[in-house]
Amino acid sequence: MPSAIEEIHADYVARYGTPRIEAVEAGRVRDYLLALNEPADPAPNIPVPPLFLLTLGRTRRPQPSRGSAVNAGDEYEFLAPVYIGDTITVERRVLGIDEKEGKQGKMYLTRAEAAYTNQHGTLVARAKLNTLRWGW
Amino acid sequence: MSFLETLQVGQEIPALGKGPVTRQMLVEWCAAENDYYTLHYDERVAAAMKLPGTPIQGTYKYALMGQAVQHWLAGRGTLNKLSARYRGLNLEGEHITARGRISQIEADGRVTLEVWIEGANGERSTEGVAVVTVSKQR
Repeated sequence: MPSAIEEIHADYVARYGTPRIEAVEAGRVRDYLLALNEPADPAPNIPVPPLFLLTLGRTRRPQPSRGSAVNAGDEYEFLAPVYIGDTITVERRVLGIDEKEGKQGKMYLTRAEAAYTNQHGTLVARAKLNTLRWGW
Repeated sequence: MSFLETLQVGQEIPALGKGPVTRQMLVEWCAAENDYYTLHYDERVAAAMKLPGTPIQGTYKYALMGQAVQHWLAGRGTLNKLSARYRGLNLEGEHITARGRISQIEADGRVTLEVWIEGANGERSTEGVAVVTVSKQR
């Protein structure tokens, strides 16, 4: 039987192990701004909001195997502007999974990193993404 | 006077408040970030986690901090880095506010700010650091 750490790592790889290619579409940028109740009039000659990148490379399947999860922290470094019409490849990898004692028993902090590269091969952003899971 | 020359350590940027953050907004955020984790719109899942309501997504608060910085810059600079640590929860129905304060100014135009999300109770639920480069042009 796999350990909790092995299972969490397998979940992460199943969800994010494959590089994802995403088109930066005007509609998705508009939806991002509308969800924040912000004026939503994205223009092709103006860079998209930097944090829009956090919506790329995500997935709905597979669902996590079990337990509960919350975001623990995010950190993005923005290296080049992103425009509507760009194609961004998102690559994620696990740096480590640490076991911690929490209020609800054992908790597992997944430390991952992501790289965002545009269609010209330019690294436009990189991120550190920390997630906390428990329930084993 | 350039934008950089108008800035001082300790100066706050305009607050960006949103709320009440409704369930519709939480579901719209699921769609925007393509992540439908049930915790954010199903109180049965929240109750199973012993939470009194469905929590606002951390990434929503993170994005709101980003928008607060973007509004303040208004094209007079660029966001280089933004971090967020999710320390506490804000629940559906709450009014939340993104705030920021300048903590460091460098001659080359790099400006560091502490940024945070304040909940309805005035407590900081999310904290981070923003690094921007602002225009030195007059």
